[in-house]
Amino acid sequence: MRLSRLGYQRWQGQSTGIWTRRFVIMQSGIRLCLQSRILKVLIALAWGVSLVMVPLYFTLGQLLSPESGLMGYLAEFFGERFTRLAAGLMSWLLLYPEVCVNGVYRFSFFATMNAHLFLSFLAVSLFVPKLIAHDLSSQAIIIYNSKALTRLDYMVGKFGIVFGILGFMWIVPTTLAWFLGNLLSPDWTFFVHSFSAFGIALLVGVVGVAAISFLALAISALAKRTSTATTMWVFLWIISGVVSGIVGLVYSGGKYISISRSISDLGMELFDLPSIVEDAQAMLPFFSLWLPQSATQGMREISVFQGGVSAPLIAIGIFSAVSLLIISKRVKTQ
Amino acid sequence: MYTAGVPLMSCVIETQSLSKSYGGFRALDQVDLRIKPGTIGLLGPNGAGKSTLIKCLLQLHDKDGGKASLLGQDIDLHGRETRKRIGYAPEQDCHIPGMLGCEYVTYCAQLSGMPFSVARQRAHEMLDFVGMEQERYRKVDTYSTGMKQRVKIAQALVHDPELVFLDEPTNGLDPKGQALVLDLIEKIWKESGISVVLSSHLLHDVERVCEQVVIISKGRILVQDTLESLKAKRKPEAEIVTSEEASVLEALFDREGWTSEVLSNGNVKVLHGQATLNPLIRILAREGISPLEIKECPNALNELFIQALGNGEKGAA
Repeated sequence: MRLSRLGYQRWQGQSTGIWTRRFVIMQSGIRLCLQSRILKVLIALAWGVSLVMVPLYFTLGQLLSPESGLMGYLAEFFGERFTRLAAGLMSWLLLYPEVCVNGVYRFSFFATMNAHLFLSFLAVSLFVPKLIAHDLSSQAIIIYNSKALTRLDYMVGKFGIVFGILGFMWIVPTTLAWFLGNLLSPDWTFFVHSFSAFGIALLVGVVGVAAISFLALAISALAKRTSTATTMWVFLWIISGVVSGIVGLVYSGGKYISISRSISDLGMELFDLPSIVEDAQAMLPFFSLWLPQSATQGMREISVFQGGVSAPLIAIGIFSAVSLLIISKRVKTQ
Repeated sequence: MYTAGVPLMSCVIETQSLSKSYGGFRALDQVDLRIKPGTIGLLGPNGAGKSTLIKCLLQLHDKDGGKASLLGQDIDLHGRETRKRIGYAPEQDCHIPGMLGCEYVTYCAQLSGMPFSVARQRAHEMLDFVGMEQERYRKVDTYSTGMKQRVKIAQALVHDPELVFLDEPTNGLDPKGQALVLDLIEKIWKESGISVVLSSHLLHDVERVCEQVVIISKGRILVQDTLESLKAKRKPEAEIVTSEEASVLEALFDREGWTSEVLSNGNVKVLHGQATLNPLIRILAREGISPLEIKECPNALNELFIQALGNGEKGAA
């Protein structure tokens, strides 16, 4: 029998909770955004950047572990001299694991962080109109507001879309690269030695993704038409980057008018690469021969603003707070 | 009339001094309502405040003052939980671009708290209920006005609400489409016991499907009563079109003690004070007067609606 002949049927079931309803908004939004092929390519690129690190970590682990298969192969190939050199390296590892393992991980995480930051901004420019601008221009916002949802629920769901996509591009591959790299290492202590570097990478990833998510939602909420959302996003990203570079020459705090610069500098401060180099120079004799003291001085001059970590953090906080304010003002039925 | 085993509450909508202004314009002015379950017609000209009233009740717009409760629950205290039991089909298009009809209705069901598998099944049931066939597998963006209206009704009903607000659901439809939508609205209450608030500026739509009527004009409630009662109420007046001399009729009515006057078109208006026209017809027959036409005074529903329209026009001017 056709359902229409059955007439109207009542439903008596258990309703889902509010977090499930927020998740539904997120899930549906992600599905809509992933219709873009270019976004899928960007996600693949972001994964590629991290997965390239896996063989690097694997090689490092093999080189620094006495019983590794790679060492055995290289010893056969290069002879006794290489084994002795490797034994010397291993002793340094035992003495200074924070320099040998942590240092390499910090450098690599810092490099991938910048790549992920760039790819995240690029990815957002592809789907920023589909976040809130779409709902405002098509009046779909009425549907959300008339259902069993509050404005906060809607915002949480939409935040989940950006955080979900960017997290999948940035945080997940970083975590996987760290895990696989260490898993393939013959020595389990690598997990411990690289954990602080991974923790920083995770922290910068979460803060960065959250800040970009807030900003993306604000831009999407501000745009009256879907086409203007992308323009506004690219304009904000590129112009603020250029302006921050110029202002930063006059006043070092001025560089934080760019959110991408703020996130990048937060990473730079947290990874503290100059101190790793200084430690290496102090502890590993051959390292100071390769890299003179003036080089670390140069690194410090590039990276450090007097405020340390707090300056970029405050900038990111201000960006996020203003974004939240804009979103809460704009997300309502006209 | 709905008789199935769903308990009926005393009032589905209750407001006290509900007010809303946009800048200096008072869209709702101290609105007091007590509406019982059933089919309710919210009638008024464009700009009368019908949509604003619905939007304030659903918290789509913040009210400036007053209290409101839906299905017995204060909207300020239980807004989200109350909306779970309410459906709303807005006047304007509100689809999500890029979604298929069935996806859209499923998504709306999930937003209202239905698990996915149930939501999907229920979406198809509702699309069947509103008479949508294979079009459900097309993007909503490509739908005709009639299909969009139906899909809006489907999404409003999909989570099995107890009260549905339909804002101008026949707008932009051809007569056949209007009839289909009105039939559907009638079925919603009769078959399921879901109370329906039909907001419209068309008296015909409301007369056809509603049991209760609320007439609103310039943000004020002019009347709230049952359709039956409003139709029964009319002034005991009649307008007589006759070929006789008006003075003959005036003299006759004077003798009966009825007040009368000659209108500018030559017709005679008489205040007969009777429940029906029968005494008037008998008197005319007794005197051998054959009127060309006897026009009964419009009923209260028509009069009040015309008054509301007049207010709206004055407001617009």
